[in-house]
Amino acid sequence: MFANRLNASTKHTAHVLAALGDKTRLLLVARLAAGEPLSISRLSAGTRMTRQAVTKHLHVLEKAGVANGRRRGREHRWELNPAQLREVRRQLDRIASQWDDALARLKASVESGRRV
Amino acid sequence: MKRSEMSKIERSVFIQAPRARVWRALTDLAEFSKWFGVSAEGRFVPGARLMMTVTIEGYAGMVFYLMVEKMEPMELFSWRWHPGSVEPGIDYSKEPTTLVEFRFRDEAGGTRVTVVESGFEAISLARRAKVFEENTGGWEYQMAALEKYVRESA
Repeated sequence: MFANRLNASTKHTAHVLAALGDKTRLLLVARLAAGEPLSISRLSAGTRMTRQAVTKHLHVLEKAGVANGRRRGREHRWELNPAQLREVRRQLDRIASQWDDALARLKASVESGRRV
Repeated sequence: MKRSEMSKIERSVFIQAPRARVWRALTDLAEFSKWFGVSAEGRFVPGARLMMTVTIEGYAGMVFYLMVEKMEPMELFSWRWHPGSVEPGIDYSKEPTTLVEFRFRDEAGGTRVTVVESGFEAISLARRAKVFEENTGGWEYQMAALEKYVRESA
């Protein structure tokens, strides 16, 4: 169970998971996931968040490699970095196969010890 | 797609043994430790926070914590933990946990155990990254559902 789970848990992954483990940032990611780079005004539209608050959350996402900000003219536009998200997805797949292994060990352990 | 389907892992196995036997293999800490590959002290009881040390070669000595939630004999055993959280020196206490639930069911000649690890809402974005690659429309649809969920639960 643990070999892969441990393997997967690099410091960087921990940062990505922490970055995504926040409802506001999930909302921002959801908006960015439409694919089009968005300005901070677009990202904060319809929410009660200030531009400063949105900017702060975007920087957390940027630090984790989940989103990138680029200057376009006078405005910053933000977009997702799908490569980073794909890496986390691969880890989910690894966790699933770790459960397969763990259950196989459980089965072997119980069945080898059973009274016939 | 339901949110739950995007945010959980489900696996099951058939074991040729009675339910009571399988329940014991899961909830007796000594038995659990053997097949799970850990050493630990204490007892599985609801509310307990158990420190476990990995015994698997190559990772031996790494520590993680498991918070026991429910123990309904031969029906349900569940705990919470942090996904992938064993990096030394990092405080994971504020990070989201995932919930691990084992359910037991009689099946001809033995018991079926199903494990569900859920709570990957945050992490499951990554799954959707695949859809993003393959199908932008699908991604948008799912993200709209996610946005709705996040807003409603905020």
